[in-house]
Amino acid sequence: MTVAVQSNRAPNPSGLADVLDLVLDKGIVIDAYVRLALVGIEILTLDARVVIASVDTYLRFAEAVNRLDLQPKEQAKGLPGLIGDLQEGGAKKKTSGALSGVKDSVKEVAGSMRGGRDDDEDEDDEDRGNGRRERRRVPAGRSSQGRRRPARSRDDDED
Amino acid sequence: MLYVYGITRADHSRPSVEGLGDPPGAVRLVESEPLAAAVSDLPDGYVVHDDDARTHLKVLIELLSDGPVLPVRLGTVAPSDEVLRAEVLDGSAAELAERLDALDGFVELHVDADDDEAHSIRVVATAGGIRPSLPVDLDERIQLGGQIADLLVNYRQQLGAEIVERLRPLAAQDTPRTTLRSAEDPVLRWAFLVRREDVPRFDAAVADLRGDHPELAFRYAGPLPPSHFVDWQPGTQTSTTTDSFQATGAWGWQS
Repeated sequence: MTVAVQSNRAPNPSGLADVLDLVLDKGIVIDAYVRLALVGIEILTLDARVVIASVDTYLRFAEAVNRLDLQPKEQAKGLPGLIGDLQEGGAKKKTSGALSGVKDSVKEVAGSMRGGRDDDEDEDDEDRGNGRRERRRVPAGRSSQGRRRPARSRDDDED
Repeated sequence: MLYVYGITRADHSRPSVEGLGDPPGAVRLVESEPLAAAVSDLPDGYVVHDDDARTHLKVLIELLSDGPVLPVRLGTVAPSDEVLRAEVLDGSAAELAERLDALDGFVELHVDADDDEAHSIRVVATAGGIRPSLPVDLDERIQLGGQIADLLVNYRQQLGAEIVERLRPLAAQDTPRTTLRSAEDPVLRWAFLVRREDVPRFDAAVADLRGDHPELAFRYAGPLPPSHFVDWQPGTQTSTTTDSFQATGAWGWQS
């Protein structure tokens, strides 16, 4: 299984959202005389999110461009961590964008994926961090185990 | 009552994992030739929670190691062995057996890719000749951000399409697992249905992708039960649908 090690294939999906994606609304539906018992799992619309980028996303991107010192890629490579920090500032939660597209209803235990997510508005005066944090509240599963974490860990790896 | 995990063939071996419940129920097979249902006993009124989703998947993965399995949706219960045999295993025997045959020898693999936003913005801004600047006027600033957003979406979709096209020849079928069309979306969230004997080749292909795209963070998981492909029929080869994948104008990214 040398190849498997090289490819880093994990036996399970890492996040609860991916687990739910596999077992919650996929698979065989047995109807006759068999009932569903999803009593304890609260409905959460996992993908109820700002679909087409919102105004605050646009502002974040604009700020990021301003902070990019557009040097050749080779030179820039050594600074991903620094640039990652720099570009995170600026976006304000308050300019909310157009909500559209509620999708993929997912159920989960309340709070298990939502904890500590309302903190971004307290940090509007801070110049880093809140840009990335702003969106975490909506698609909890996706972003908390999605690109935010890998991006950060990759920065660490390269430092 | 009985908690139902999945449908297998009758000659499937009993999975050696614990099921749902506290204390966990032993997973057993309720058989009715040619099918069986993997079940465990559960007290009436049991409340399913998120740990149960993991357990459910764990049982399915264990079952998958011994032959084809049709995942049953989380939270499905049956009142008794007899009802399960009569209403499910016998009642839908032909259809279930056909689906098991179709999926025999296949496993599901997940490939995710995430970019570093700052890196991607640098790439698209450089390629688009966008100079560092920050318009004072709010509308202009939003316009600049919107331009970056469009470029980002396009860039990520191209990356995602490139990855899918490199892996697709090794898969019998593939499908996106989430929407990939906004500026906040990742590069890739994809499921592939792959012959078990092709998994090493798939592993190698993913390893190559990692090497070719050091700017991306990949996640790769499997073998998983074919949850995204339970309706799949042999003969619907994706490799022939590459054209429609591109012809949609959005790379077939589903809405």
